[in-house]
This record gives sequence, structure tokens and C-alpha cells, in this order.
Amino acid sequence: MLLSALSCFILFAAVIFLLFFGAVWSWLCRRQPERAKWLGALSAMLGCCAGTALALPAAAQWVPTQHFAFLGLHWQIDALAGFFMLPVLILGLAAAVHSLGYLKGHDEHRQGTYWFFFNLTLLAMLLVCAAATYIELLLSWELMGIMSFALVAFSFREQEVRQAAWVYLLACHAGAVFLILMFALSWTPGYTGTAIACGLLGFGLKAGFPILHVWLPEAHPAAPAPVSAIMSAAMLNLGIYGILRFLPPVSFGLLGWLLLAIGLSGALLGIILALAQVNLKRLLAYSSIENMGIAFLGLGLGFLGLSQQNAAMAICGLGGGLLHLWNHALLKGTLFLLSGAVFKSTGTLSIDQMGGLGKDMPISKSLFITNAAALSGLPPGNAFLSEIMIYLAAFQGVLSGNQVILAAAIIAAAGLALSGGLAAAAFCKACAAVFLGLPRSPRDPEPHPECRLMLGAEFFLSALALVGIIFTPWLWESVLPGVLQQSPLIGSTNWPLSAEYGSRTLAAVRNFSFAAIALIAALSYLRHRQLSRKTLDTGCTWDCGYALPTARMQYTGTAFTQPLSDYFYLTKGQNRSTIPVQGYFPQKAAVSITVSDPGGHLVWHPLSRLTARIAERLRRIQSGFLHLYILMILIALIAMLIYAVATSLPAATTPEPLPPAIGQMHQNSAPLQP
Amino acid sequence: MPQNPFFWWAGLLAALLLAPLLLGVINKTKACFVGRQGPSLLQPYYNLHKLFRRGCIRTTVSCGPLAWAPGIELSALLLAVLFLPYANQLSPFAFAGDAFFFAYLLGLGRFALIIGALDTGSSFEGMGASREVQFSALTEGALFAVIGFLAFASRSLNLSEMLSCPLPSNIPTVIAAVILAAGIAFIIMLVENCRVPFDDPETHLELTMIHEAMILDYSGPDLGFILYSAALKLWLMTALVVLMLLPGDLAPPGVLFILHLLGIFLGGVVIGAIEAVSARFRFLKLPQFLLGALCTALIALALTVIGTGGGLQ
Amino acid sequence: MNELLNLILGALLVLNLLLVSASRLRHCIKLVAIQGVLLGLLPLACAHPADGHTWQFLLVMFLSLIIKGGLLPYLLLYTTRRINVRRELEPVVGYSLSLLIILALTGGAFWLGSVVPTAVAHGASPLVLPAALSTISTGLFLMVTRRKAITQVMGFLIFENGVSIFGTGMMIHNGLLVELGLLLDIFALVFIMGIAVFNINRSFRHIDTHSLNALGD
Repeated sequence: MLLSALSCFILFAAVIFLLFFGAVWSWLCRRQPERAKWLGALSAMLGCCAGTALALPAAAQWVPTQHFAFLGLHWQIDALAGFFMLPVLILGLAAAVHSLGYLKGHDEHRQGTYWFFFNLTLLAMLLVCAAATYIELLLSWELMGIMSFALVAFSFREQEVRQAAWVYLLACHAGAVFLILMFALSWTPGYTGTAIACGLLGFGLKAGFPILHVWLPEAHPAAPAPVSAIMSAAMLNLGIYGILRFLPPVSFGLLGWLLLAIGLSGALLGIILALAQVNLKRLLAYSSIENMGIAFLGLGLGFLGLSQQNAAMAICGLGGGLLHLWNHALLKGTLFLLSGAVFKSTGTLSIDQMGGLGKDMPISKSLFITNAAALSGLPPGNAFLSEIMIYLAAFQGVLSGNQVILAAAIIAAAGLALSGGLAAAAFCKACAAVFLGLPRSPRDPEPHPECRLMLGAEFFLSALALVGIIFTPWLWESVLPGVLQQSPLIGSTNWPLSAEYGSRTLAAVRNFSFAAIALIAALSYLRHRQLSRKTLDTGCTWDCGYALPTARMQYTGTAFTQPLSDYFYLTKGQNRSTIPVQGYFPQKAAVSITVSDPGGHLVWHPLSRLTARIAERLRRIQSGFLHLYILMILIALIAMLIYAVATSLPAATTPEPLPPAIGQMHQNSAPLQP
Repeated sequence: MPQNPFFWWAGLLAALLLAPLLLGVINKTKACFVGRQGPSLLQPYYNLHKLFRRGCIRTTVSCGPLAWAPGIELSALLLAVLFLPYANQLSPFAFAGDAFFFAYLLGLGRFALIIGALDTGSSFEGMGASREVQFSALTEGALFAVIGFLAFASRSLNLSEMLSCPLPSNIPTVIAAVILAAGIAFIIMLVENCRVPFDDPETHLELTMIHEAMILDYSGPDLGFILYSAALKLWLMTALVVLMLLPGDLAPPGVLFILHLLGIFLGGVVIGAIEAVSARFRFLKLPQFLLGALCTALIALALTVIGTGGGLQ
Repeated sequence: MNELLNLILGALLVLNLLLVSASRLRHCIKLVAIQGVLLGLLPLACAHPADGHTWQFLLVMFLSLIIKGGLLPYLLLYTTRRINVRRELEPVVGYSLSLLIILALTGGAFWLGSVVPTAVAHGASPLVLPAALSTISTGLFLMVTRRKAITQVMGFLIFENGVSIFGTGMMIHNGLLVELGLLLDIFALVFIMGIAVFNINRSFRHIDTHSLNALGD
């Protein structure tokens, strides 16, 4: 016991020490890029390994909750913290290895800077998980925001990158403001509702709630690929972590409905927008919004289950939601790393200019396709395991007998199914346009060999995803209930969360998944043997009799999903400009499509215009005379005084404090009473 | 409801062996309707045999997925076969939630075919894949609404119990709802299997195809795999509709076995008749149609909720 | 619970979805005719056998069946043929979106049906209120979102059908007599509209109501 506490403390200190001093040292050595690189990368990797040794036992509940006092602040590592630290650590390790390859020939002389911010971002994310109270959370949250901002802005010489980084910084700060408000208000009696709203907004900004998501598709394409991998796979999760750990107590029903609505709209909005993207990383970023939405959908169903005292629905929803975060982390991490490899090889991220990369990068192609299929929720991938749990939660709701829940659950299930189908469409588009077919634009004739380091990182994550399938039933039974109990929101009920339900399903799905893999292998072998005795000719693609198909005749990614985007009104109207085909011998015809984010052009742009207009009005007050300013301060003070007196006087006469809304009504009407 | 595992295994065997025959039945019906003699009922078997003996032609554009896709598609369907309650006998492989596994296995097969089609870089196959992905995504929602309906009607989450449970035969509203849902399932079956009026499997013009346009570049055993998978899928989905309508307490298992086979072939006749007398819908109309199917399935669910007395708390 | 009634009401619910997604006018009119027939059968389904069917009751039912299921649709069909419109092109709200909206409205109707106590108090089927409200909202929706005058007339007809579903289903006393009066009104209305639409069409070559806005000035 004591030993484990001591070793945990040593590990914790080692993680902080390694990451911090690795960061500082590589910054100090920034004039010698080679040295800085190795210093930074090695310390990041070692730190991640040490961290895994700390977080894994905590998440698996092999060691009890650890409390540390470090740097005068309080940290604690329990199952929940460990559960959310693990993706950070695993992704951190993979991204560190990947960065070694990615940074070659990519601002190589600034490696010291990169590793400084990289290590500190990792450290800040770990500290967010380990924060025991508000103070630590806010400190590390801010640190995380600023450090990752620097990483997003790493290629700051490009205009778009700078703009994206600004948007990201704004989002981070807005989130932090909401969090400070939440903590301040949660101690003020009568403002719990506002505090909860602030908390959801603050954490939701990080976790990519719909409408609040706008920074995500900006920041991810701008950042270097390993950084986008960490941000998308691990940092978004921390928003959910914050909700589970720090949100003030709120009724299960309310939270469940909110998360369900947010999750469903996020899942559909995210994937519909992902469909229409042409920038590979932007597509992946929108898909992250979708997956966060799916996780929220699961959590929402789980909270509804809690409110209904429906044990099966609760555990399936909550557990499925958390499980989906891990699955998404592994798969999306790999995909972002692969997008980095693609970018290194082609120099662009626009998928309509790619194509045929599969011949140059066969391993990346296979990895990308398998991971994309798995992320669309298709078996035998691991994301299916979490999605089936969320489906089970929804269908428990259908069977629960409550009609309102039935209606919500069936719509949630149909929406989830739709988003799964659309995700398959989006990833077919991504795989095909990048790797398959013929190159759509002239490329460097000399193919780059695939970088070993990058491949290693990608393989590592994919292998973990595969291993994850084996261990999911164990995770479900022995880890998830303990993790969920650690959340103050869920654990406060003294309500036993049993993972009995669903573990049989998970075991069955796992077995059938491996059966599927074996069957695919067997059939392919059979086919191979069959064909090895036959003639195997090669020829050009059958284009219905046309013997000279060219690369430009292929379907582009945009064309592939255009019917669906049209159906969802994304590419109609002013978003599309056409030079139509005219005459019998048409000269030139073209279509150009721009897809704007509805969150941006429906909410934020009008809002910012409104703000600008109000600010314009307010400028009239800005006269420049000191006397006037003082007068204004005076007026404001008097107004506040009157307000304070007016609200406090009747309150003194009421014998006991009243709940907020009713209390105010009473106070206002008090003078009228005899 | 009496259980006899023997008949389930017999049903599985029938699915694996007789699936191509269903295609033969459809073609024969179509031929009869237009007054031709038509190909033999066993023609699909001859075709498969021929294809498996042949060699392969592969496009030089391909970088791999084209070769993998048929195997994946067939594996997915061979696994999906395990979850239906043939002859209303519970599947020994059933588990809670296998309905979702079933639906997603079909999705896996589709994904593989689409990637395979896009691997060729052909504009026609790109077009077919684009259509397939659009319609299948929209079908998914309707399929899950039907599964939701079945789950509620049978109070169960595994496909075996959903499809083999006896109907509450004393409530006409519920029976009407079941028939409505079976109608929706039939439509989903037509869409998923690319039959008229949603797709035309036998048109001579690639521009108007969905599924067939995706497999233009396959030949030999690969094409055989795909044709057999398509037959299996058609069998499975038809069986789904038949089992929805076949009450489990109607007869002893042996009779049910015969009945479900007859029902499936009757389904084939119906499909053939529809193909003979109707034309293909406009593609633009399809999404609306699928959305309508989803809405109707939800209404069937509402009717069941009210019909079973869950009406008002 | 009266099962025949439930079946009819369920069919009416599905009909609303079909109505809102039908783009061909002839198809739409046929659906309205089916709705009228179902509506005509409704009193038969929900009358208590103990009441005994007086000849007035049967007469009213018969009249409404003929007018709503036969005469009015025939008039509408006749008008479409005279003015030669086939399709409702370019509706203000797309068909898919219309379906979703009607689905949402139907869901709302179900919710309202479970909240409003009148349905249970009268001993009527719990489907009556949802079916009636859903039909009424479909009618209103068609009137608001379709451009052709003839579809708007149909919307009005559907709206009225919804009202009479409510009246019959709730077994409101003397409802049938009121119904008969309404029937005459509707009949007159469709008749006049038919003539008016024909005349408008003759003078303007189209019946797009949006273009009629210009006449206001």
C-alpha cells in the first residue's frame, strides 16, 4: 500500500520532471536542432511511458486513488483520471515518434521550439486529468490552451495558419472564461443553473459541441499532423472529462436530455459537413465532431437511464460513450498521422488533387482504409463495439415503457444509424480520392519511400486498436464501472453500476469479429489458390468500351459525395457556381463548390456583426473627456447601490432564503404585500 | 413455441445452397410475365460454376482493394447468415444486439465493394459507388427504425426472438402495424438488393445502374464471389420479411420450415412480378422515398405502442 | 378498444405522409379520395352498436362518403384535366423536408394526444386526437407550402377532413349534422375554386399563386 503510494508519487514526479525539463532543455538547445530533436522526443517518449505506468494501474483500479501535493497544489489520480490520461499518453508516444519523421524537411531548424511546446502540451493535458480542485484545473487548462495554440501556430508563416491559430486561441479563452464563471457561480447559491450552463459551454467548446465546434475544423488542418492527432484524439476528450468530473450536480434527466440533443445534432451535423470537405484533415476534424457527438449521445442515453432507474440503459449508454472515446482516439489518431504522411508525400491536403497514392504508399493505404472502415463503425473494427453498446442503450430506452424516452431513443438510434452510413460515405470518399485510382494532378515522378518512423507510430496505434478488441469485454466488466463511479455526477447516487449487462454481447461481438477476420483471410487464401492455377491477365480499366480513360475522367471526391451534399442543402444556391455545358461542341465547363460551415455563417458571423454594430454605437460614449468618464462611473456606482439596496431590503424581511427564480419573484412583490 | 435446432441448421443449409435458386425464380417469373420461356431455374448455378473455372483480368490501375473486396463481402454475408431464425427456430449464435451486428455486417460488405469499385478509377464505377453510398446511408435509418419496431413488438434485442416471436394475434392494430413494417422491410430489401423499382439489375446501360455499375471490373472467381454474395443477401433480406410475417406458433417446426422456404420463393415471385410490370424510379426521388419509409416505420411503431395498451400512462 | 377504428386511424396517419410527399397532382387527388372514403367509414367504426343505426345516420354517412370520396376528387381531377397541370413543381419546402416536418408534427400530435385528457374522458381511441391533429396540420402545411392553387384547395379539403376526424372520432353529439352543413360549404367552395382556377388559368396561362401577388398592387 505504502509502497504503491510511494512508487506512484515517484512516477508522477518523473513524468512532470521528464516532460518539463525535456521541454526546457530542448528549448535551450534550439540552436542545435539535431540535439534538441532527440532531447525533446526522448523525454516525451520516456515521460509517456512513465505516465502509462502510472495511469494504467490507476484506470484498472489495481491501485487505490492517489493524492499528491506537488508544487503546493493538489493532484489526484483515480480511475477516471487514469482512464482519460491513457489516450493522452498513448497518442503522445505515437505522435512523438511520428513527429521525428514528420519534421524532416519541415521547419527543421525550429525543432527546439516544437519540442518545447509539444512536451508542455502533453504535460498540461496530463495535469488537467490529475487536477484535484478547481485551481489546478484552471491553471492546467489555460496552460494546455496556450501551449497547444503555439503548436497550432507552428507554421505561422502561412496566412491561413495564423488565422486558424487566432480562432483557436479565442475558443480556448472563451472556454476558460466560461469555466471560471462556472466555478465562481457554483458556490453562489441560486445560480446553479447558470453555473451548469457555463460549465457545459466551457467544456463543450473543447469537446466540439455543435455550433461551438467552429474552431475545430480551422485548427486541425493548420496544425502539424502529429499535433492534430493529439488534439483530436486526446484533447477533445478532456472536455468530456471536465463535464464528468467538475460539472456542478445536476439532475440526471436534464443532463441526459441536453447531452442527447447535443450528441445527436453533433453527430449528424459533423458527418454531414465532413462529407462535403475537400481538405483531408478538415474532413477528419469534422468526423471528430461526429464521434464526439456519438459519445455524447451515449452519455445522454446513460444519464436518461440513470434518471429512469434503468440499470441496463445507464451502463450501456455511459460505458458505451466512454468506450467510444478510446476507440475514436486510437483510430482517429492513426488517421491524422496518416494524413501527415500523405501531406509529406504530396505537399497538399486537397483530396481532389490526389489519387493513386496507394501505389507509392501501399502500407499507408492499407492502414488508412482499415482504420477508416473501423471508424465508420463497421465490424470487425473496435468502434463497432462501442457503437453497439450505444445502440443497446437506445433500445433499452425503446423497451423501457416510457413513451417520451421511447420516441427519443428510436430517433437517436435511427440518427446514429444514419450517421454511421454517412460516415462510411465520407471515409469511402477520403480513402478513394487519396489512395485509389490514378493521380489527378502531376506528381513528383520519383516516389518517396514511406518513412519508417511515421509508419511505426501508425502501426503502433492500429495494433493497439486491434488488441483493444480482445480486451474490451474485460474493460467493460472490471474497469468501466469503477471509472464511472469516480465521476461525482454519477457516483453521488450510491447507485450500483453493474456491468453485467452487455458483457455477453461484447464477448460475442469480439468472437465474431475475429471470426470475420479469420474468414476473410481464409477466403482470400482460397481465392489466391484458385487463381494461382489460372491465367491472370492485366488490362486497362473497363470504361464501357472507351479504351483511353484518363485520370481526369475519374470521379473526384467532391463528385462522389455531391448527391448527398446536395440532398442536405450544403452545395446548393450561392455555394455553387457553374459554367454550364453549352452547344454541340462544348468548350469549357466547370463547377466550383464552396461549403461553408452553418455554425459559422448562421451563428457566429451574424453574432460578430451584431457585436460590431453595438460597439459602433457605444463608441459615441467614448468622448475622451475625463470628467464624463468619472460621471459615468459615478452613475454606475449609484445604480448599483440602488440595486443592492432594493434587492437586499425585502430579503432581510423574508425569514428563510428561497430558491432562485421564485425567490426573486417574491422579493419583487414583497413591498406590495401588507 | 417448440424448438428443434435441426430445422435451424436445415434452414442455414438451405440459405447457403438455394440462394442462387431465388435469382433463378425471379428471372423465370419475369420471363413468364413477358411471355418468354426464359433461362433455366438453375442458370445462376451454371453461371457460378463457369465463373469459378475461369481466370481473371485485373486492371493495372488497381492497387489492391479490388482483389480484397469480394472476399470481404462474402465473409460478411457468411457471418450474417448465422443470425436469422430460420423456420422460426432461435439461432444458436444469437446474442442481445445481434440485429445491429447483422445490419453492420451488410454495411461492411458494401464498404468493401465501394472501395473496390473506386479502386479501378473508372468513371462509371465511381458513379455507381456514389449512388450506392448515398442510398445505403439513407436506407440505414429506415432499417433501424424497423429493427426498433421489431424490438418493441417482441420486447427483445436479438434478431432471433424479434423475428420468431408469435404475433399478439388478438390485436388487429398490431397485426396491421406488423404488416406495415414488413412492407417497409420489403422496400428496404428491394433497395439493398438493387432491384426494380430502385435499381435495374439487368439494364444494358451503365449510366442507369447502381450495383451493377460497381462490379464492372470483376471477372472470374471474383465475380463469382460477388454474384453468390448478392444471391445470399437477397435470400437473407427476403427471409427477414417472410419471418416477420410468419408467426412462430402457427405450426410445428417441420411445417414452418416448409412454409418459410415457400414464403421466400413466393417473395422471389413477387419481386419478379414487380420487375416485370414496373419501371425504375427516378434516382432523385429515392432519398425522399427512403425517408418516407423511415417515417412509416415510426408510425408503425407508434401504432404498436398504442395497440398494445402502452397508450396512455 | 375499437380495433376497426384504430386501423382506419392508422391508415389515415400513413396517408398524411403519402399526401405530403406526392408530387403528381393526380396521385395526390387519389390519395385525398382514399382519405375521404376512410373518413366516410369512420362513423361506422366508432358508433356504438347499442345505439342502432338510424336511417338519418346512414344517410349522412353515405352522403359524406359520396361527396368526399367521389364527387370532390372527381371535380378536382376534372379541373386539373381542364387546366392541364400535372405536377406540383418547385414546392416552397422540399419533399424530404416536408416529410420530416410532418413527422415532427405527428409526433407532436401524439404527445398532445397523451397530454390532453379529453380523449380518455370520452372513451375514444387514443389515436383519434393524433390522427386528427396530424391531418389538420398536413392540410395547413400543404396550403402554406405549395404553389399551385389546386394543391391549396386540396390542402383545405384535407384540413377539413382532419376537423371531421376529430368530430366523428370524439363522437360529438349531433356532430354528423354539423358535418353535413360543412360538407355543403366545402362542396360549394371546391366548385367555385374549380371554376375560378379555370378562369385564372385561361387568362394567365398558369395557376402559380406566387405570380398572383403582383395583382395586389
